Amino acid sequence: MSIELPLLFNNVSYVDKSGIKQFWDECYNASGPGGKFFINISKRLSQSRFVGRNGEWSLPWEQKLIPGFEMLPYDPTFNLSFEQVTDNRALEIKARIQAGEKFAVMYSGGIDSTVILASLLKNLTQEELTKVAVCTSIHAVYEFPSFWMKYIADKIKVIDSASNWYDDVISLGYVPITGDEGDAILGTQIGLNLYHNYDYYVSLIPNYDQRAILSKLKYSISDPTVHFTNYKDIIIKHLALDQSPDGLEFGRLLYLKYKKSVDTAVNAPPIQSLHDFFWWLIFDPKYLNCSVRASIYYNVTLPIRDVIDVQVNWFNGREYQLWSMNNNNNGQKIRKTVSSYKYAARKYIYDFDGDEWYFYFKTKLESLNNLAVKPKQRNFYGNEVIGVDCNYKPLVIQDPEVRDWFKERLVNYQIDWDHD
Amino acid sequence: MNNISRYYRTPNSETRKNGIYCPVFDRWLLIDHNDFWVTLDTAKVLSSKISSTVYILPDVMHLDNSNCLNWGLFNKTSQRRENSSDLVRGQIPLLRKFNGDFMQFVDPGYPEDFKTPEGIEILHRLKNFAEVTHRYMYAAKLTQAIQSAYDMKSFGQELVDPGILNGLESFHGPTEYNQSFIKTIKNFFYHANTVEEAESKIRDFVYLDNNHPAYRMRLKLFYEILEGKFDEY
Repeated sequence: MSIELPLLFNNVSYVDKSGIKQFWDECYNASGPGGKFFINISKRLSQSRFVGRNGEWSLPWEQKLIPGFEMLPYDPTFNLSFEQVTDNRALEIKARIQAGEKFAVMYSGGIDSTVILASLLKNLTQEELTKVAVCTSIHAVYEFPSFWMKYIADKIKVIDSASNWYDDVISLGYVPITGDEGDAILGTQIGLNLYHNYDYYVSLIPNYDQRAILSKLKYSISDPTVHFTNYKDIIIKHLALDQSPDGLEFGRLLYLKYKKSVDTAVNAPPIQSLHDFFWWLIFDPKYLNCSVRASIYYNVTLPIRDVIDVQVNWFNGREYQLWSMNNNNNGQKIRKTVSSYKYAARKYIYDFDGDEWYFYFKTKLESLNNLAVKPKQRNFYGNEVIGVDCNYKPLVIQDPEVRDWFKERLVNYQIDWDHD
Repeated sequence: MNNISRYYRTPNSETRKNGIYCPVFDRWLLIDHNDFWVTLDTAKVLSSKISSTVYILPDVMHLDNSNCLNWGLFNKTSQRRENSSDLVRGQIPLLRKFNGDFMQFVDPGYPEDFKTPEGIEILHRLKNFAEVTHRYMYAAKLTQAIQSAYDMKSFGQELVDPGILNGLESFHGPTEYNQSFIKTIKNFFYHANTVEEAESKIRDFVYLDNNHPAYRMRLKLFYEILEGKFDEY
């Protein structure tokens, strides 16, 4: 057996490439309800890459958290603002630059990476900024053109991410800085897509009185006095594969699995509002994926561990985690609608740059795919890495032993959370 | 846009509406009665300020520019772009067809997070920017269509492989802009922070930087179109 347990990363991505979908279909057909549920997660959410950090999250295999990404205990006395935490983070980078290091911000033009760049521009001297590059794609120019023109074009060294991934950035002498945990600190897209379709989901509720109650709660998504369980029926409809009985049953099971993570969390902040609930999903079981996925999938030549150890996960610091746990339901993450999503980060950028359009109207976009403009030559496609073993060895789908190993565990996976 | 509408329809005919929808606040920013291609260009210019999608609309008679900020989309679950779970996959606006069978409008007033005086003010500022940009897009396109006989360079760039021209100088004729007239106007609005800034750049471009008879003639037409003296041409 060459797969050494526990796994450090797992990835079920139901994509129609290189026989990946066929393999998961094969596993699906051989599985009982547990294995089917697990694969259905990837059909609903594009990937299933969850690993619990605090609350219970059972998996078909033994898994452990990669060191450095543990959740800190909740400390309600923490009182730094987002601005203070962000400036402190920039000062850490400043000190490392003074010690001789160079950094490359993985920049998309979105809110998270713009916060990083804005804080460096704010806290570093011109001389220190010569040690900062941005690794980016043309998408970033279009996503925030005024910022690009004011602060990046002809001012900061630009590395094209279409042909340079994390390993290239490192080989050029830069430490990559990723903001990929920004969503984990401030909320999650899956929540936004529910808020965006709130009225629609309410309309699917058959009972008139219940519809009336839920309609009144539309703008209470970040109200701690309205517990997320009040929204259970529309959460299930949102998480469902589709609105058929089988699709809804999957939505119910996924809701209960998420809820079990919430209910079993220890030393965690209160999870009260609907946004708390969705925040927790990415702050706990999805956090690791956000932290290391780029090291695994946008790195060709270097050992996975080397990239994970070298890169700076900007929002993974102690202060950001504590800030995130202490700023639920106060308007810093979201107010009443998706327009105000990541309010504290928008405000930080606005205070630096003064761009009202971006502050009010920046829309959440997917950015990781921007790195895949020109996939590099290598002997496997990204989603063919379906796991990483305890020695950081990538487990690829082409390996028959890996296939058999995953299939066997999915077939034997049991649903252990089906109770409310 | 009444004068421009006469180019698209006879007095008693109707055209299908189209509009710019903004997912970030779930409202319609602009409704157009004539030409979705122009609306798509307007949305591209606005993309420096907001992500949007252009929809070709069904027969929704009540939706117009006086009320569209109060209307949104009811069911966006199927309004994904490409394979993205986001409503907007990227900053470049795309064209979609509105399917009335599975969506309907609702009327909740202004977006909830914009109900403060500041929020309403910025919404209307954006809307005004969009409407002015849209008017300029029509005028620029019509101007270029009517007066582009000497646009050797931009015509060639669009249609001819430069490699076959052997460096012929006529390709860079004396009455040619550095880039097409439409592109120039788009650039000004794309990069401008305010309507006034864009309009100022257009005036400077013509009267200060390009004071050539051919430019002046073109700008004369352009401003007459903007002022509604369109039928003279």
